[in-house]
Amino acid sequence: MLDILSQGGRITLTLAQAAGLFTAPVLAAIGAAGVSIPIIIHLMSRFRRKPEAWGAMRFLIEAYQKQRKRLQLEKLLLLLVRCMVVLLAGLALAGPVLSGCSKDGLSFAGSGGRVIYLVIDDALSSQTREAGTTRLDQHKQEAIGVLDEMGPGDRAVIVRMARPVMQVLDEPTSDTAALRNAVGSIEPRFSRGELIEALSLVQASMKAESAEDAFVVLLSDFPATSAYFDQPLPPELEELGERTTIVTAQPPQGTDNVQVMSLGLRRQMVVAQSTGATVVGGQAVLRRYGSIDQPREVQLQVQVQTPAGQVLAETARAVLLRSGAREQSANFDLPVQLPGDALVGRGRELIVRAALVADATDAGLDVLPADDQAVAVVRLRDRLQVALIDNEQDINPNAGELEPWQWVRAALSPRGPGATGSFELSTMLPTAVNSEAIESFDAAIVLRPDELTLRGWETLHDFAKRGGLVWVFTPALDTEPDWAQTMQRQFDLPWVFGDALVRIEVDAEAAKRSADVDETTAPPEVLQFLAADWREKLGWWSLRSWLPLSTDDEDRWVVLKTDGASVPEPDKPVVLAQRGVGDGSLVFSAVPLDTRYTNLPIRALFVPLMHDTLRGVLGNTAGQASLLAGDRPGLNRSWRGVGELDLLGDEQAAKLLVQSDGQDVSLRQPAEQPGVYLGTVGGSPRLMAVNPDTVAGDTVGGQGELELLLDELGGWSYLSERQQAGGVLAKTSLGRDLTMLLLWVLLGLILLETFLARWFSHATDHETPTVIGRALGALRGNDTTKQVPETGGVV
Amino acid sequence: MATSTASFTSYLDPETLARVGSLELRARMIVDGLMTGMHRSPMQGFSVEFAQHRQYVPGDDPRFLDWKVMAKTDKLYLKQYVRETNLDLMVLVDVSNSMDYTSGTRFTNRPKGELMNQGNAPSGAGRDFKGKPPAGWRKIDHACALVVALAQLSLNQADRVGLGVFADEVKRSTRLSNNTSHWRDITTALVESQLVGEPSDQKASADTIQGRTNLGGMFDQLLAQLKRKALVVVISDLFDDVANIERGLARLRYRGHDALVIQVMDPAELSFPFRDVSEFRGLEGEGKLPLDPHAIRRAYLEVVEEHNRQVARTCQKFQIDHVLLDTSEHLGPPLSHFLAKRTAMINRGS
Repeated sequence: MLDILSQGGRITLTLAQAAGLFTAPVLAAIGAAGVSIPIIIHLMSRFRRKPEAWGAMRFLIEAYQKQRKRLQLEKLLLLLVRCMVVLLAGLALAGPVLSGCSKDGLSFAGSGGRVIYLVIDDALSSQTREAGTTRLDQHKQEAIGVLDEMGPGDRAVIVRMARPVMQVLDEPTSDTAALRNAVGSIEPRFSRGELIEALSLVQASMKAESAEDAFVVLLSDFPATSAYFDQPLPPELEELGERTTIVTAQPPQGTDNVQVMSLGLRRQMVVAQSTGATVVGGQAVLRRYGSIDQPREVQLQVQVQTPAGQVLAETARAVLLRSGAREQSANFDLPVQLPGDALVGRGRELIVRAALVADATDAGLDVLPADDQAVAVVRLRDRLQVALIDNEQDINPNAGELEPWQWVRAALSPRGPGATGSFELSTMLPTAVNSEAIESFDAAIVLRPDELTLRGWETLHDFAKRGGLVWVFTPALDTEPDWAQTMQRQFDLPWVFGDALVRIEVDAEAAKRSADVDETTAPPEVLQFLAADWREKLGWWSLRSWLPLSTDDEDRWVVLKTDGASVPEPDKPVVLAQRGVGDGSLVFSAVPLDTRYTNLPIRALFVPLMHDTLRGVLGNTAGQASLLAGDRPGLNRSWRGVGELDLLGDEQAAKLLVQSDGQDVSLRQPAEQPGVYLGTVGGSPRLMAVNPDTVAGDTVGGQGELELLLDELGGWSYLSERQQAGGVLAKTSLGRDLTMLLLWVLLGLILLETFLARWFSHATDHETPTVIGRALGALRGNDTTKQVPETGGVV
Repeated sequence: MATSTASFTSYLDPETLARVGSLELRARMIVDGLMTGMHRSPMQGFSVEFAQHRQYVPGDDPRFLDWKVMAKTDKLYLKQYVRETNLDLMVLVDVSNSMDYTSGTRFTNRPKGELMNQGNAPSGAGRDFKGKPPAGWRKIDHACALVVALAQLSLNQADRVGLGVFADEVKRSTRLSNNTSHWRDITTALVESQLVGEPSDQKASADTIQGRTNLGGMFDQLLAQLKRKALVVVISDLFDDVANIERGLARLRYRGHDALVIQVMDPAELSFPFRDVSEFRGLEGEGKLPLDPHAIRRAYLEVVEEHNRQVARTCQKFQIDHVLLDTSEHLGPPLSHFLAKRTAMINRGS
């Protein structure tokens, strides 16, 4: 044992720890043993002295007595320096490593005291199968190899890199059996890898453990399109590579993979047709990784199923991925013949499943089957409940013309009371609006906002936040629109309203009596069913008066054409706008639903606009029913009351637990296993689709991106290089490599020895027998001990 | 003689001398080489007896040109004279164990005379670098070559010559004599001092200690036999305390003798060129000292330099000439010094 004094006090260093200070302890031992060489030479020289009979002995004795102390001192000093030269040469070649100093004293990069962080990527791409094994299996095998190299005092931490990043064991442990079991128990997940987050976890653990001597092994395939390559590096991770040793697996070159990148339904809520087929439409986007030089055709199958597994509709089609194209979308519209019981109740849901059909000829072209399927949930409603907030008073002075509420009823429920249709309208007085009354409705169409009380506005706002649709029409009144300000405050709208209804002055030369809406405006996404003849239908819509409105770009649905019309401001006068409010939405029409102000009610656009606005907005605010694996987002309020969700078809799979905290609803744990989960709300079944995070399905490694990222961290090296260099946990790079320092000291000592040897021998015209001189002489075959001719003479 | 100066001076080179086994032959080579190579004739002065003619060489004093010969033959000849002197020369040579050192080989207990034998010493084998003495060429070899040369030179000029061999004490000595046969006595004394001898003799091993250099105690014994002023030539490595050396030289000077100190050192002792860690063992029983020579070299050289500086200062203090000679150098300078010293003494009328 060695005792070393440091700032922190005395450190006891065992022989094993001392051996751990060097990459090649044997060389260090040889160097230490080599110290005896100069001493042995010194002692042997006593026996190898040749006798020299000498006449002038009296002078020699006198000179010796004068110089005896100096000679002895010089001899000892030279011997010491030569011993140090041999010792340092051995130590330098042995690769000494010192990780640094801490308040507890010196910390050695030896065989003990290291903390090894094994960051294992268990994300989606780790399921890539190559040469009969998955990448995750390779990572686990490499992790076991690293664990096998651990020294007696080493501890290890296993970090799973897929979202959510987690530490497998609670704290660093040296129990290799437990570590092996932990590594072996890692199953692949379907989420994306989070390298930055994993490194932050490692950094936090290092700080908590005060791990001065840490070793981070990154075992991942580092997909090239990983989002973490674009993430800014947190400040705490800067120079992490300088504080620890980072070793990383080398990203693979590339492997072909085709995936169903996304499955999107046009509407998540579909109003079932009472007669005929109900159409479930959507779009599947396919993406391929690896080589894109050649065109590739894959078979895509889309099915609509009941939760019990009954296939109600299916289609299969070939999708061609063209040469040079990575993505290709495939639209589908599946007519579904609903069984009778499917329309009972309000909570019926169907599963839409899009999957690539495996083909034997695709062997090797799709090495990651885990992302070949995506699911979605579509909610079926037999009828939408719409509240018509109006007092149903006549405000149109022109006899025979319909009132706004009549236009709405004519558009949504033309068959009259008692008839079955997609919408069931109920009139509600503006003054009677309250939360209990409106709770059972899906949408509220407000035709008399001027009569709403403040409480009524609050109720509507709350209704919208909980997922309802509030559609407000400007009343056909010339009074000052104070209600607009109230609505703006209540819904926190960033919109600018005018002070009153404004008549639009039309250029006389244009010989028009009304202003047109801008038909070039693209339809909003919720009205995509109208996109085919949107421009044509929109071109017939004109206005005479209008409540000036200006909104953000993303809120505009329909704007007024300013050419030829005297619209002073704003630049883009908005006629129809929509804004999300909580889980629901607010739609606002700046023109009254009155033929005195606009021709909309009598145009072909009116009915489809009313229907698709309600179906589309409500279809997109039908409640969050699709998640990505690894995500843990807040859920729609409609999920309140769902205790747990079971994975359909796999009873052993982990349940999804829903927790409610006040107004917030969320999953207790992120969903890991993709598929469709089933729960119940108020006795009604509720489905949630969980899909793989296909961003993580890139099977091509991003070597360049990885190296850029690691360079930002500081020092790092590849796993393969270290394995070839003698082991992943080879000690040379665990701490500060003292080799160069020792070599410089060694050089200094050699120069010192040369100087001392010359100085002590008082050489003037003699070749000095230094270490270098003797070595060179030996190489040249010269006998440096041979006497040099001397010039005799008279003193 | 028409031999070039360079070829004659090579007789003074230790490399050449080392190949000559006989002391007598070695002495003749030295003297002939010295006399032939000297630019200025040593035979000059007022009390002269004609000896011979010699061909003029540049540098000779034109005063001694024989004008008659030049007029007749149109060639330049010098007239040389034999001068009668009564100079006494006492040569004191150090035979302490430190004088037994050579960097030419790494051992000193070689069979005596082996390296003196020309046949056993391959050409150039002992000189693997410049400034290194010939193989086996010890300091005492260098000193003995000097001794015999000095004796030969002096006896040729009828000077009286004596020899003293010392270490920590006087080991052997000869009387002063100008008899030409005395040269044999001197060589015999050197041989019997177990330092230089015939090839069959064995040199004493390094651990048969001859003793340490002790100049102070030695002078009292040797100078006692000098009845009149003499020229005393001390040949030693002077590995003694400077105080001892000073005390000895002071006594010598107080007695009125003139002196020439020739300090003989091995080049390795002057430059300390060792590189390997070695165990140095003192030749004079100082013990063992394991050392990294690199580390101690500068300090050692400082000590040696300081010692030699003090020796030179001491000699200067007593107006004694001091010559530092390493064993890789030829013998010309000390002999020239000797001749100049002798001439100066004669001119002073001593």
